[in-house]
Amino acid sequence: MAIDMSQFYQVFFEEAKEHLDNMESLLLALDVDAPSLDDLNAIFRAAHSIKGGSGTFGFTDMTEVTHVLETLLDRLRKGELQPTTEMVDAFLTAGDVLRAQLEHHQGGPEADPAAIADVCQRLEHLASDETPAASETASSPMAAAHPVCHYRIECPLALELAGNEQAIDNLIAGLGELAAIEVEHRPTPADPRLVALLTTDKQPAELRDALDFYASGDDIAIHPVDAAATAAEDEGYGFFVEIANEPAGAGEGFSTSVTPAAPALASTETEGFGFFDEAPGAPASATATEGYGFFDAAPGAPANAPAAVHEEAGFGLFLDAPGAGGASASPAPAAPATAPAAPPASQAGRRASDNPSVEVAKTGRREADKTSTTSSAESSIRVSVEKVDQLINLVGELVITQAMLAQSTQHLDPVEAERILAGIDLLARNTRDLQESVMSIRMLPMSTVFSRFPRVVRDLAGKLGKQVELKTLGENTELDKGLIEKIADPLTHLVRNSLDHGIETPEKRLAAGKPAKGTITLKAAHQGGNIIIEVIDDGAGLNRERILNKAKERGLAVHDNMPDQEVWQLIFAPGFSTAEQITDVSGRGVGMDVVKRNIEGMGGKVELHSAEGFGTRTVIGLPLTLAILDGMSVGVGDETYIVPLTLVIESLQPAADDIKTIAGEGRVVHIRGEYLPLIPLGAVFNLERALDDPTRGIVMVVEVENGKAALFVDELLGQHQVVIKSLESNYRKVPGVSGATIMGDGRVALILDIAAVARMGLQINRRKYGQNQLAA
Amino acid sequence: MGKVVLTVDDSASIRQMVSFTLKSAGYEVVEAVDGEDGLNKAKTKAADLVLTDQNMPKMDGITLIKTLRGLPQYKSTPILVLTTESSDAMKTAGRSAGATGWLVKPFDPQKLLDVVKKVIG
Repeated sequence: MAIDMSQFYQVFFEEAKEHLDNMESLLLALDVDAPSLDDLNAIFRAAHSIKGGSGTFGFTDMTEVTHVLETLLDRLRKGELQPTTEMVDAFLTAGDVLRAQLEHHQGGPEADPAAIADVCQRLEHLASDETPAASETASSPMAAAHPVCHYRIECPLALELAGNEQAIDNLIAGLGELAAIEVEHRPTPADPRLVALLTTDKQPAELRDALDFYASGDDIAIHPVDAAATAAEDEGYGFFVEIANEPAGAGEGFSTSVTPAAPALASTETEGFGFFDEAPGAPASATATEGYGFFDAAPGAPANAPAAVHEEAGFGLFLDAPGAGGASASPAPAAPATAPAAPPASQAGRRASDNPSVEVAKTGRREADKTSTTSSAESSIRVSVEKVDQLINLVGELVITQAMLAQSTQHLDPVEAERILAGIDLLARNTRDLQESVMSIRMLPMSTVFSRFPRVVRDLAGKLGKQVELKTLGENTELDKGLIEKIADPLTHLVRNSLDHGIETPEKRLAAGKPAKGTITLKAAHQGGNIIIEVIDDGAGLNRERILNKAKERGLAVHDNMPDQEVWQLIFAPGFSTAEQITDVSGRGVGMDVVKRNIEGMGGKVELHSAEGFGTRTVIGLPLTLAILDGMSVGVGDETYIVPLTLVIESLQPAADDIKTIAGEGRVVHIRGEYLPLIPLGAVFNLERALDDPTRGIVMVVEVENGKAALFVDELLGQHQVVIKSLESNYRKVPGVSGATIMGDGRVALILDIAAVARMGLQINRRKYGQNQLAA
Repeated sequence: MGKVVLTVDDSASIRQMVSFTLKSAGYEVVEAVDGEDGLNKAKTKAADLVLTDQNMPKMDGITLIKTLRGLPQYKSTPILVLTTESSDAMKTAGRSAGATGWLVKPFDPQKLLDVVKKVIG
């Protein structure tokens, strides 16, 4: 029965990824000086599960890495070795390598073989109590060799070759150049399989290449085998026969009936299954107490000899067990005709991950060990993002329809149309609730982003020689999936900045009377319809002098009496870096300006607060979702526009003597001691019938990139929650507009990109008033 | 009415593979995510065969086998332990816990079927 294994891959990928994430967070939390056995067991189990799965589904490259990983972890959990920081580093690197391999199997780029070999080597060294020489840890591809592994290959030769002794000799000789080879079964016309054990530092792929001429690639099976298993278990396999003078049912002291005359058994050393004699439930064997005649391994052994005739059988039963099933027929292929010499038995390095004498904690296992796949198997379902987005769109339409109904029933007499109006009210409430719960489907907790930082901080702090503790607060705060994905990069940049420029070296900190260990705090919290994310460090803070000097160098308009807040804003200027030297951590030419641009692109804001000597706090404010927006609708000429409410500071009707004209710059409006550039929306969008006299319209003070601007509109219409529709995907990109929405009356209103509108307005002003100046 | 196989493994992908393979061959399959879950499922539904992984959270395979053997209805039910190696230590442990036999991981679907057929037909 052929079963296509690929149908299970996706589940394995997800599972492996969860195990890797779980392993990483456990490793990062591991106290090297006092490791908890529970944690070590959990880490071991994660590696072990990946190994089992990858072996089963044929991702042997991952099996190899997890195997060496598991070996070292096993020694740790047994207390044979003490964990060291170096080990944790190696484990983390191994996790990265496994991730890369996993991505490769999912169609990503190939994992770096040098990195794989390097990490295997490191792990092996650590497991063998040796410290690798520095030259070996250098991950240069030159020095990196694939670790020596044992493989069992099984490859059915093409039939025309199977009888060709010369060809077979050539093949074996060819393999012999790549590996120490131990032929278990030489191909014959009757059984064209070549079965051999190889011990080599070559990659399986290279072995495969050598075999490719002789067999079709799909049929070639190359499995890593345990060194211990390779060293043929003397008993050949799990067939324990009751010794005649022993009372039946003796639970221990079983012995094998392997006789010198049974060399063939050696070839089943990785038998993979066995039945215990006298174990409950074993199938009755006709010769149960006789000892097994077929152990003489003659070809054509009786069919009730399970396993003996199975090359690499893979299971075993303990004989004479209670509950015997009646099955005795064995689906035995013809037994191999040749009995190869048994590989040398070496017991060295036998692992005992299943050894029960290992004190495995059987109680008090932490809940967290349970992978979320298993724990949430019954309580959650996976739904594609498209379906959710479809749902959000439909709800958006419903909201618009509801608004339309509300608007068209407004003029009805409340007494006569009581029922319909009550219905409309109820509909409004239900629609809002429905919208909220649909939105929440797309919401993910901030922990999905925060979880990457322990690793980032650990690696960087190590590189920079700083001591840093990372704290996270409010990681359960939820945010829309799309925003979560977008906020990760800016946050990473800010955390790197804090580490690189903020937190001082331990010496400097001590000299300043601070604890040697710095703290970086990531904090998330809801605030109205927004989420506030903060990155706080207790480092040196921003250096006002240095920022001002740098700004002067770059010819920015600054003066020494600027308020702090404005000085900090200078950091967001393009290409502005105050790093004394460019490090490979944050001096990559990607500055805070990019961070600011990204955050504003999400409809968010970013602010800096700092106190010299005490640290820096970066505050990011984001809308919870990109699907709806709180907006203020404004009328200009015959058009309606939506201004995002978060950017509106105040609205007022200016007096005539508050409007001034500055040559070359255009009109400004004087509001509370500040002169703000006046941006006439009608002029920006070229609207015929817009007002031209600000004193007759309304001026809306809005926040823009570097301060405030006064948006001049005809009238304010109202405040709404609007459903955002993309203009770009439905029409095309329009300058000054970030999206569109459908109003209750069915008309389309454009949502303004305030920053762009302000820029456009300033240009228009300069053109208009600059010309006047030239003429004057 | 097919025979009932209880498969106990903390790996969803392996469980899925085992379950799919056995179902295609006409067996009825009950899945459990760890030893504890396996024990509960074994109590609620009589299985004709139990396949259990060794390394699992909450309760490992050996403990599960011992516990099952303590229940009258599982005194003589075939139980196979899935393991990644066939060391003597494992066998001793499996045997003394009362396992019927062992099956080494990784195994392919065909091998699994062969073994299950052998044990419960």
